[in-house]
Amino acid sequence: MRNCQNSPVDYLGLKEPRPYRIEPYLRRNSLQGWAGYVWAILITAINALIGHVLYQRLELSNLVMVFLLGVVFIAMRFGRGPSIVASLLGVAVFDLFFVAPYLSLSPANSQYLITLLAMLVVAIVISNLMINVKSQANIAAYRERMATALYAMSKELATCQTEHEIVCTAIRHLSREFNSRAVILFADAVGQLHYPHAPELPESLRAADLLLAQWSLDNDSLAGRDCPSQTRYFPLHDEDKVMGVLALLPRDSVCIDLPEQQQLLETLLRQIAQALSRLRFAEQAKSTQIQIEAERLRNALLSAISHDLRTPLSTIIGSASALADDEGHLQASDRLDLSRAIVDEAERMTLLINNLLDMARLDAGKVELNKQWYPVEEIIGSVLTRQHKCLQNRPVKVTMPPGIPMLYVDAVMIEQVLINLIENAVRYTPKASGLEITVDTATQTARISVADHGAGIPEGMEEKLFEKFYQTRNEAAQSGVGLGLAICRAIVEAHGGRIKAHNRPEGGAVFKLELPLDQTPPELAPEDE
Amino acid sequence: MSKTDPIIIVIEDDPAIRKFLRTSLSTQGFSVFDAETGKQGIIEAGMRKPDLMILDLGLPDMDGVEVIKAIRAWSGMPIIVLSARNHEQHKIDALDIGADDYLTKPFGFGELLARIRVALRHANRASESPQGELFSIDNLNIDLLNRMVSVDGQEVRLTPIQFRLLSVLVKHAGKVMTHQQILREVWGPSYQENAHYLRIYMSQLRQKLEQNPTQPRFLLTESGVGYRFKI
Repeated sequence: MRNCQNSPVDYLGLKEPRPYRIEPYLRRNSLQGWAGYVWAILITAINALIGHVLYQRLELSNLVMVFLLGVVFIAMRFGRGPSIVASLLGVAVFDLFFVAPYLSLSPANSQYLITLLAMLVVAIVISNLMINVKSQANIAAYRERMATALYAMSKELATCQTEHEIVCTAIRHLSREFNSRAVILFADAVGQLHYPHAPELPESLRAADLLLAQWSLDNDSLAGRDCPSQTRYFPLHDEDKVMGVLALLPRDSVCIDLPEQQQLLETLLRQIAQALSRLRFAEQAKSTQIQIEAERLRNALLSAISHDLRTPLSTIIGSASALADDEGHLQASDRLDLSRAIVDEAERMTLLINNLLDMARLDAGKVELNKQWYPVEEIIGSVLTRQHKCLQNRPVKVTMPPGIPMLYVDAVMIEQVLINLIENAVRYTPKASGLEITVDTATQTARISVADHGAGIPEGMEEKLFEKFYQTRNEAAQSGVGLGLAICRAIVEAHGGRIKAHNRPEGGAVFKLELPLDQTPPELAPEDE
Repeated sequence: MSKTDPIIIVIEDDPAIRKFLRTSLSTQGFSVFDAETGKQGIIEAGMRKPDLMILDLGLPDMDGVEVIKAIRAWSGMPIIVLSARNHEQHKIDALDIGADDYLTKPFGFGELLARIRVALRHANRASESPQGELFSIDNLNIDLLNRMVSVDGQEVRLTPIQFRLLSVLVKHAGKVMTHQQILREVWGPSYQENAHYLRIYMSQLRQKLEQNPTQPRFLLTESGVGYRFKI
C-alpha cells in the first residue's frame, strides 16, 4: 500500500464512487431465512388439518381457497421463497389427500395444475407487493431518523455561543449518526489550516492529514475517499469562503457511501458551516458594537480634554505673553501674580495629562503589577510626603492599629490610588478642613480609608463616581476630567480588591479600598538588640 | 561670573529646557555649560571639570546610563538625572550605576535648586572628611564611631542590622539610595532580591527614630526607587 502522506493526490477521491446497493442495508431487519420455510411447512400442515375437518362439508374448489389463504399469509409475512414453497406444498398436499385417487399425484387430475398456477402467481405477486411495502416503510423510517438527527443537531447548534461549542456539538452528532470520529480544522487569516488547540473529546479524531485537508480546503472539494487511512476531508464553507475542513473517519466506510447517508452528511455539514458562519457574523457585529462604544468614549474624552486642557493653557499663554510683552509697566507684585498663575495652571495640566496617560496605560492592559511586600505605613508615609505641598494647612490624622500585616502590592500603584483620593478630597472639600486616613483589617482583607469633612457624595452617585469622565458638579474651576477615581478603581481591581465610597453619618465622604490578604507575609528571624 | 562659582554641566537635548536651565541657574550663581548630546556632554565634562552634572536620561545619541558610566570612570561629581514619568526602572538603573538624585519631568525650578544644593553639600562633606563620624540633625544624634543613637537626648537601642542600615543611609545623607544599593551595603551582594527585608528594617527604624512613622522627617521613601535620608 502506498503511503498516503507521500502522494496525497493519489487518494483524493477523484475516481468514480464504488457501486453500491441499498437493499442489503434496508432489508437487514426483515424476517428471512429458514424461519419462513418452517412457517410455510407449518401453515400447509395446518391447512391440511383444516381441510381434513371440513372435507365432508365443503366443495373441493372452496377447499383450495383455504390453501390459497395460507399462501397469501406466507407471502405477506415471509416473502417470495417461502410463499412459493407454500404454493407447491399446498398443491401437492391437496392433490395427495383431497383428490381421488388419494395418496398419489395422479396426472389425471391435471385440471388442478391451473389451481397450482393460480396459487403460484398469487404468492409471487403478493410477496413482491409486500417487499415493496416493507422497503417503503424502511425508507420512511430511515428518512424519519435522518430528519430527527438533523433536527436534534440544528437545535443544539442554534444554542451554541462559541466556536468550541459548535465543534463539540458537531463532532458528537456526527459520531452518533455515522459511527465515526471527526475533527474540524480551521483556516487562519491566510488560509492555512492548523490543528485545533482546544482539548479533544472522546469522539475526536486524533490523526488528520494536514496535507490532504489543506488540499481539500484549497480546492474546495472533498478528499481522501480512497486513502488507506479511510479518513475523509470535507470543506466547510459559508456563502463565499471556505472556513475550514472537517476530517471524518467512519468505522464503516461502505455505509457512509450510500446516497442517503451522503445526503444526510452533506446536510449536517451545511448546518455546521451555517452555525459557524452565524457565529462569525455575530462576533463581527459584537466587535463593531465595541468599536462604536470605544468611539463614543473617545469623543467624550476628546471633548473633556479639549476643554480642560484649553482652560489652563489660556491662562498660561495669557499670563506669559503679558510678562513677555511687558515694557516696564507691570508692578513687581503683578509680575509675581502672573508667574504664580502660570505655575498653578501648568501644574493642573500636568495632573490632567498624568491621569490621561495612566488611564490609557490601564485601559490598554499594559500595566504589569510589580508586586512586593510593603508595610502599610511606608505606603502612607510616602504618599503624605509626596502630597506634602497639597496638604499644607490641612490636618491629616492617620489611625493604624499595631500588627497590620504587610501588603503584597505594587506600591507605586497603590500610592497613586491614595494620592488621587487625597487630591480629590482637597479639591472638593473646604480649605483647611481635615482628612483622616484609617487602616484596619477584616477577614482576609486590609482596608485603607480616606475620610474628609466636605459636603459628601450626592445621593445615589456612590457607584457612578468611579466611572470615566464623571464629575459630581459642573465646576470649571475644579476641573479634572473625572478620571482620578476611575484610575483608582482600575488599579484596585487589578490587585483583586475593591473600592467603595459612601457618606459618613457625621458628615463628609469616605473612600474605602479593600485589598486581599491572601498570601502569607515573609517573616524575619528576630535579631538581638 | 566669578572664578569660584560652582560649574554645572547640563546635558539635555530639548533646547527649551536647556535654555530655561541655563538662564535660571546662572541667576543663582552657577556657571552653566550645556551639551545637546551624550558624547558632547562627556567631552564638555572632561574639559570644564564641573562640580555637578544635570543629565537627561533620554538623549538622542546614547543612553543616559552610558553617560553616567563614562563619567563615573574618572569622576565622583554629583549627577542629577532628569527622567520622564513612569520609567522607574530607568531611574533605578541610573541611580544604581552612580547617579546621586533624580527629578521627574515636569519639575519646578525650586525643587531642582534644592536638589543641586543638597548634592553639592554632600559632595563637599565627602571630600572634606572621608568619614563623618558625628551626625546631628534636629533632635537626632548619631555617633557612627561609638554606635550611639539618641533622639531628644534619649539613647535609642538599635540592633546591629538596624544600625548598619542607618549608618549606610546617613553616610549618603541627602542622596537617593536604591533598594539594591542599600541591600548590597547592609546585607551583602547575595541579598539583592530581598527588598522586603529592607522594608521591614526601615519600618523598625522609623518606629524607633521618627516621631510619626507615617509622616517621616528623616527616613523618606522614594516611591518605587529606594530611600533617602533627608538632611
